[in-house]
Amino acid sequence: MDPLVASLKISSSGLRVQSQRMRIVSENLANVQSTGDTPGANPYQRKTITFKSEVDRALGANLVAVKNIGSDKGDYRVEFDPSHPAADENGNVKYPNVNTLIELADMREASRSYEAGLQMMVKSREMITRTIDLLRSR
Amino acid sequence: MADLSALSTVSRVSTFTSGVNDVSSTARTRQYLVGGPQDAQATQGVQGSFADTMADVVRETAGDLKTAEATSVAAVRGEVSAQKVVEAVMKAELSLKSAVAVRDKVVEAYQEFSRMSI
Repeated sequence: MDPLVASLKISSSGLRVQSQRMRIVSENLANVQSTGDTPGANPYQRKTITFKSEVDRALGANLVAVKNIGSDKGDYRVEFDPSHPAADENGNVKYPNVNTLIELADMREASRSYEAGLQMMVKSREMITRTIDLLRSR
Repeated sequence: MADLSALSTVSRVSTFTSGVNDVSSTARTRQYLVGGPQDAQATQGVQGSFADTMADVVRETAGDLKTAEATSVAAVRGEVSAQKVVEAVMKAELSLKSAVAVRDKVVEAYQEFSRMSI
């Protein structure tokens, strides 16, 4: 396949995984206050996403794909709030192990990677179009 | 699909230019375009003429346009991601662009011939 057309497809796979990553980040951010609903219950567990390289035989190139959507085994944030429905016998409530700052940094990284992929597509397309335009000019 | 008018022009040109190439292949190309029996090609003994190549290009472009349209419709229904739509539409656009560019060049060549004084 034409390498320029292939690079369009490869960038497109990059865009897809970065949008998956954005989905995970927004899930984590949305659930930053999601506690359990019974006393001492575990809250929402932060999700993580990993990527892997995937060979596309038809294309003869390495695409990127989501390897795994796992969960962060880190410690929960504990706050003292005896009036909360999820408070245990000591009055402690377990909050999700989501750190907003980390999620925001992750979001920015995903957004930058997405932009890089978009630029890649724009440039490849421009190169193809300008090559075809050679036929037009006289 | 509005863009198909351009494609039919390409196919007509390809049928036409086969006359320039070798007269016998015109009928064969027409058969090829309307999906006639393939053994006609074998009996002619000529393979991969210009007209056949053009017919292939047209068919591929039409296929790309159909895929792009189907993907867009699927995206409206929320089944396909925006990236897939962009990928399919871009592929169709590039195929159409190159087909049209080649057609223009072929028409130009024909006009060059028709202006030739005998």
